[in-house]
Amino acid sequence: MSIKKKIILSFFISFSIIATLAIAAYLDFHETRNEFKYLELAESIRGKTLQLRRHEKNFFLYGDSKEIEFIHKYIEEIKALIKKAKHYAHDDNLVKLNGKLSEFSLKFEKITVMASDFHRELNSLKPKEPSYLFLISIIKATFLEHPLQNAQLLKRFFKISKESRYIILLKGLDANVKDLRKTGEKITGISKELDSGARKRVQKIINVTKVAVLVFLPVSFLIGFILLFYISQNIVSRLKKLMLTIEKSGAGFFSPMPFPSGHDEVSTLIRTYNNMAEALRVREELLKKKEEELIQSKKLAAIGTLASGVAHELTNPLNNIHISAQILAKEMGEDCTGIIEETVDDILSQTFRVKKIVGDLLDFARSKEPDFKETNIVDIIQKTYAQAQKITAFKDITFSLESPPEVFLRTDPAQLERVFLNLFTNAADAMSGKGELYVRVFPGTDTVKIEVSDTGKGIPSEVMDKIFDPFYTTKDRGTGLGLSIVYNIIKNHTVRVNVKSTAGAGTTFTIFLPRYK
Amino acid sequence: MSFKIFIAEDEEITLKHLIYALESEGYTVSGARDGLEAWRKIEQEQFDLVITDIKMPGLDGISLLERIKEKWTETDVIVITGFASVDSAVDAMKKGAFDYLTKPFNLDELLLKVKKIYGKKALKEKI
Repeated sequence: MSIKKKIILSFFISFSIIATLAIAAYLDFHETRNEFKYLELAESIRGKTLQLRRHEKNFFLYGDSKEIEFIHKYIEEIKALIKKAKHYAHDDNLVKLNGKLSEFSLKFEKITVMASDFHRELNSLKPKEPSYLFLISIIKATFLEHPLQNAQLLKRFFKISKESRYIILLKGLDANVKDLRKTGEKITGISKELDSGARKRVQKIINVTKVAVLVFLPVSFLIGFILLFYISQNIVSRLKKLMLTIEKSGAGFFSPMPFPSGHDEVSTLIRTYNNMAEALRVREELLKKKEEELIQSKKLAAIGTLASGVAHELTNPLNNIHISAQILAKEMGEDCTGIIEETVDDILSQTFRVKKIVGDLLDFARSKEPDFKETNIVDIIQKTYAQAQKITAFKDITFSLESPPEVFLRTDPAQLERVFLNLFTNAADAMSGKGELYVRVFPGTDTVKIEVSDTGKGIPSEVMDKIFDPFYTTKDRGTGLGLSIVYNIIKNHTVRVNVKSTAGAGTTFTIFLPRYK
Repeated sequence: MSFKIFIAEDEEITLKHLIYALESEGYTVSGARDGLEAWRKIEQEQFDLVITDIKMPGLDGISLLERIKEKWTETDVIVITGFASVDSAVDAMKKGAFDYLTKPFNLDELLLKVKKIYGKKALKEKI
């Protein structure tokens, strides 16, 4: 994922957390407010029920008709409050209280009807003695409070039968009042429960808020910390590493960083850096190699200049020795036999050997462009073989040439002579002067293939890639320039030379030269 | 028939031996070790053959060849060259040299070439 996307994502995660917290806090406040409203209503209901009970008591104490109005008023008010409270919370006690209130209202209504009936009928009572008439007012004042005692009074002091209507009414009143009192107590109990329930609810929501704050704060802090850690670990640390690596590469150590698997900008940056470092390393290696080659070629050029100077200077003394030996042989005439003839021959062959060494050095120093001419390759091979015989021992070597009598090529004859001279003398040295030297010429349409094979000791495979290097030699005597010259000449002819060698079984050099057209 | 050869060669030993070898064959031979000295002598007198080294003090073999070819068209010239300067031998051939030899050369080879020129001259004289 790219850093841009990561930043956007982290922003959205943080934003979502903040938004969730804000919504939760808002809902929490709303809920708390509702609970407080509910508590207010519950308290109000509790207060009003107590008032209701007070007026109920007063009614039974004083029988005041005003109290009836109060009781009805409070019942209606409590019912209205219950209706309101139902908006804020769902509590079974609300329904229960509402039911009990209706029950209370009905029972109270019944009692008031019974009471007014009794009150009315009292006037028609006949006391057993006229002096008991004052009791009526006492009964009027207390029958609601103590109906059964008043029934006793009636039985004792008034002319009524045991089962009179008054007694039945009072007994019924007593039962109803007791029932109402019970209902009233229940109402008080329910309202108390309602109030404590509301308090509990408020306490609960406060606790929830407290816990939410205690949980959410560390959680969001943790998430933020993890994001921060991730970003710093993932981006900043990699950038730091890259910085260190770049500093190192500035000092010339092109070490690539571990290949990153990600796809973000930092990974792309690291990959780009790695590519650059690799390219720079390769370029520096190439530069170093080129530099070494340059130094090497400068060295070779210096050696070449020296060698060519020496070669020039050697030419004349060499010629002097050569001519002197020839004159000596001539002068001896018939007497030139045995050891003297051998010695003169040695002098002559050794001067040719020096001539070849000097020639190699000069060729190597010059390595000039070939001067192409129409040339019969068969002539050159034969001429060169004659020259080679003068230089090294070919006495026990059988030379065979398989070729058409004339094969014309576009080549530099002088340079090609050097090629064959080097190949022939190398072959003779490899065979230690005894063996077979084959030269085969295969004329093709565009090129002519020439094979030079010997039956010598072969080239060990470990030195095979060095044989064309200048100054590399395995011989006790030799400049190590021969095959290097062969290679350069053939290369200048824009063709190629191949070598195939089996240790102990001889070597075959194959040269491909362009046909003359 | 007298056949006159002049050798221009700065190497004393080579000059000495060449004169000796050619005189032994019956030719009339004279020589010089300096290009200018050689030209002074050749200018005075016509030779049948001049054998000259290319690298010489005073006047080099190629310039000597040019002067000879200008003055004496009948005189043949054989050029001797170190193998370091085969190119100059080719140049010499283009400028009219009869043949060239590369140092170190075979005496018999030289004698053969001289004999060839002698034969050619003798044939011409007969006619």
